[in-house]
Amino acid sequence: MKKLFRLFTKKENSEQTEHQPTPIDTDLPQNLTYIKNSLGESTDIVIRKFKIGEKRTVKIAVVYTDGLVNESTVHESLLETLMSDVRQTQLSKQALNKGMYYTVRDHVLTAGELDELETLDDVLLHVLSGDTVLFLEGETKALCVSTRGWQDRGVEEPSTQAVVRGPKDGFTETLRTNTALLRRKIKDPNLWITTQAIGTKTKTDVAVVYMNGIANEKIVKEVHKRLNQINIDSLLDSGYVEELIQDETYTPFPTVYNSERPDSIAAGLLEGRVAIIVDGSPFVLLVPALFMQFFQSPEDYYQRSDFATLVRLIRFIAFFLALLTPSAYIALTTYHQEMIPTSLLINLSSQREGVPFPALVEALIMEVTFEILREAGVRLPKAVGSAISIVGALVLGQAAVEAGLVSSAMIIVVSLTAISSFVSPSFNFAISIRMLRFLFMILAATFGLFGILLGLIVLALHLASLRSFGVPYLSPLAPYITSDQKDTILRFPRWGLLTRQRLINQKNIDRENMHKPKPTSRSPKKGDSS
Amino acid sequence: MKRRLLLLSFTLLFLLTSLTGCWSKRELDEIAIATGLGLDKTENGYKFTVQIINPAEVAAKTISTRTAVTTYTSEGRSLFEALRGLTDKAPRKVYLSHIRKVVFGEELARDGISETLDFLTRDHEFRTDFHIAVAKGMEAHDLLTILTPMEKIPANKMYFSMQTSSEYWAPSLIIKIQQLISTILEDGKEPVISGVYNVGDIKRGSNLSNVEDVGAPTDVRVDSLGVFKGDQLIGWMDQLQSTSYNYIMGNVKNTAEYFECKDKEGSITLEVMEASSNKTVTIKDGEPHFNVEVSVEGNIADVECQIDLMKLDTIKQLEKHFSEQLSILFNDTVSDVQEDFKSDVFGFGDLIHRTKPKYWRTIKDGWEEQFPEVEVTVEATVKINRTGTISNPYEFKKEE
Repeated sequence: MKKLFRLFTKKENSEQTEHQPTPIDTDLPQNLTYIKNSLGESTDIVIRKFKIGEKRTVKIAVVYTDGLVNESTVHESLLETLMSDVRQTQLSKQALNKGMYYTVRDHVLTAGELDELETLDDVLLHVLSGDTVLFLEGETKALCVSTRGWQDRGVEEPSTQAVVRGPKDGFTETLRTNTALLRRKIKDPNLWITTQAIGTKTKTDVAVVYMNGIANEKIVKEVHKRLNQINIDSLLDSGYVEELIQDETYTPFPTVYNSERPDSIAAGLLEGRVAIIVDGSPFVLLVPALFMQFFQSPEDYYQRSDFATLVRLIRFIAFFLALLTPSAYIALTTYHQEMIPTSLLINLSSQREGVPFPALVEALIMEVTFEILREAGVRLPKAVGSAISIVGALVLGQAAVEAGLVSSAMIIVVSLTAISSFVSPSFNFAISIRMLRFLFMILAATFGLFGILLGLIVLALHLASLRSFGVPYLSPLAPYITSDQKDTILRFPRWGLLTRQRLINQKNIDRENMHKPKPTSRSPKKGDSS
Repeated sequence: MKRRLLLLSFTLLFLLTSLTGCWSKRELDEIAIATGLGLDKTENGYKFTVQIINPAEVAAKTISTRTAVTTYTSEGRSLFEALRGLTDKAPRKVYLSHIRKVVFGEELARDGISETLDFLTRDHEFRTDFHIAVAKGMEAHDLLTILTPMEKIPANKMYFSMQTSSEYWAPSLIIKIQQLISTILEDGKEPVISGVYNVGDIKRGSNLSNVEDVGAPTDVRVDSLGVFKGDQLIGWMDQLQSTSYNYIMGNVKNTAEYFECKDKEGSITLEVMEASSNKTVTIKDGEPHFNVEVSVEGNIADVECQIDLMKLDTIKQLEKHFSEQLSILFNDTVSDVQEDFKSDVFGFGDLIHRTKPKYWRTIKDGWEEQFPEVEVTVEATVKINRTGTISNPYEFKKEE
């Protein structure tokens, strides 16, 4: 196994060859040829050559990628100003004396973001990122104007983690939009965003966002460290980053939280967590992620606290139901019949009369069938979806029982499990429950309740051994932190949530000091003065 | 290293689960759920009768011509031998955890039941929450073959009617195995076990036609208590005696008490809501004297004679009258038990043991002979709390 890993890592290393950056030549056509050759004369690269200056002596070339730039910006603030406006403007002699390059840089270009590039590799990167690059004859520097603007999806309601009450905006595939969504929520100078490009081929922008002064510096440093260690050719989704920076690979549990919801991420930032936004993915990562976090929905904080607490309890019940219902059914019906109430036992055994398979096989058939249906439901085009649900309902429901393949109690068990596994607000957490369920079913079939208990002990040990960016995964339950219980299983009213979580945020503990409002004035009682 | 360890443990886990098989695994359709157990005596051992549920029939939504339960009987020199002997008759292995009722045949009970108790508690499949009863004047086997209406499972019917009647009807009593064993083992206390018997023809009762009849000609009754001495049944108390026994032991929770009206024709019935008893012992001249105070609280439930219930005086008089009547009944019962059974079912010896242990040591050995002679006074106090939703009885004019 280890050798296999090494094989892969070696390959990756050999792919990356050290290469000297090519400087920009004074000869304009040579630069353009280089660009053309590098890009294989790709058709979406636009190279526009023309001459400017009073006597039209200075050769100039504009390079940009069609589709990645905002056409109107390029036309208005670049081509138009260069080609016509320059000639009409009276520039001071001083400005002209410095040379055309400086004139263009300091007086002509009206774009907001301007950069100077010295190597052709940089030029390529910027051109491919949607910037427009200007070459001037005889200069070893190129001017890069930010003209990024492409078709994107726009802010829509997130398709996952839906809430009844709360903001409905969701992240998009554009990094800038996503950071803007966060800025819109937190207008604090301490919201710091640093960006770096990762991926030797994709050069994907990855932004690390955190609240300076609230986030634990160690965690921020750790995030940067792990991101810097990433050496990969492509980064197409935040899932790549998640896998590359998570603490433990061999665990079914996610140690990185992801969300499509800006409010959820903003809340995480304010708790002192660190967000990682990957360009091209609407799923923003949040670390450290704790076990309890996956039971919490952003809506918990928008609804009244008593209701939120109740809903959280339901999620816990659902968690155990999703994990243990089939295995408990198997264990009870094959090993511990004495634990089933007599009348229920009679009903169960009457249903099992004539079922050809042992309870485990019966359960596996139904669970696997359900998983297949679920997977099919995700992949199928929407038009076929309803057909599948009908087939699924009939196959899972009546037909299987009538055909004598499974007992009807098993249908209830499977459907209860299936519904329960979707209660978790986080989809990737539900996946881990679903995987573990099969393990527990096998344990139950071999050792009965004893096996389930053993499995739970091992599971608890495993969870206790996990860490997410140095924070124990089970905190604040283990290690037990009394003051953090206010927002773990229970959700205290706002007046009770005055401090941030201890382990994630060690220094800036206090949130704003809120006091429970009291009715200010009542009708004056008898004897009250004034 | 770590990875290798992980791999190793996964391999071991896989082998462990796949190679070991599933020891003691039983699917639901491989077990025969027993609800009732009957133990009878034969010449050289025991007759073991189990009432097995036929799950498909019990849970059936349509009426079928099969019975909901089946009984299997086997004989053996010991109970466990007899149990295993069942496997050549029953198609599945008998599963004993859901036993609701264990019935001893009267003959076995008269011979002594202590040998059977070992098996009933030693076997790991038994839960200890089943009720114990003695088949009055019959074999336990016959009793278990009677089909009952309402409850499809006869053992359940016995279980539940005993459960409800012990709550609402004074003569019945629930006995469970732990309690029985400790009573047999204790000094100065003898057990009672409730009796079960059939009314009607047993042959008819085991046929499905029995439950097709509205009246169910053959049925099972659970009143009357069997008096034991040690582990042997020595006689039966009648309904009144059973009632008094339960009052004196403080077992009564709720019941109906019938009284003749004083000086008038008719009756008054009291709904007893609360009853308690307090037993004390005093030693006079080296002889124990027992005093039992039974206090009964209740509401008037049924008046069938002309009295003025609106007067406080009447209520007082009634209370006095009821107290006297009950006292007479209780005293009679105690003396009957002393004379007829000579068995200390009231646990008077145990009372001395607990309150005057030194004195108990001196009389312990002769207690069995001494018990019929000891002086016992039972005093009942009745308190009437409410008179129901109407005040005075209706004054209907009767044609004479």
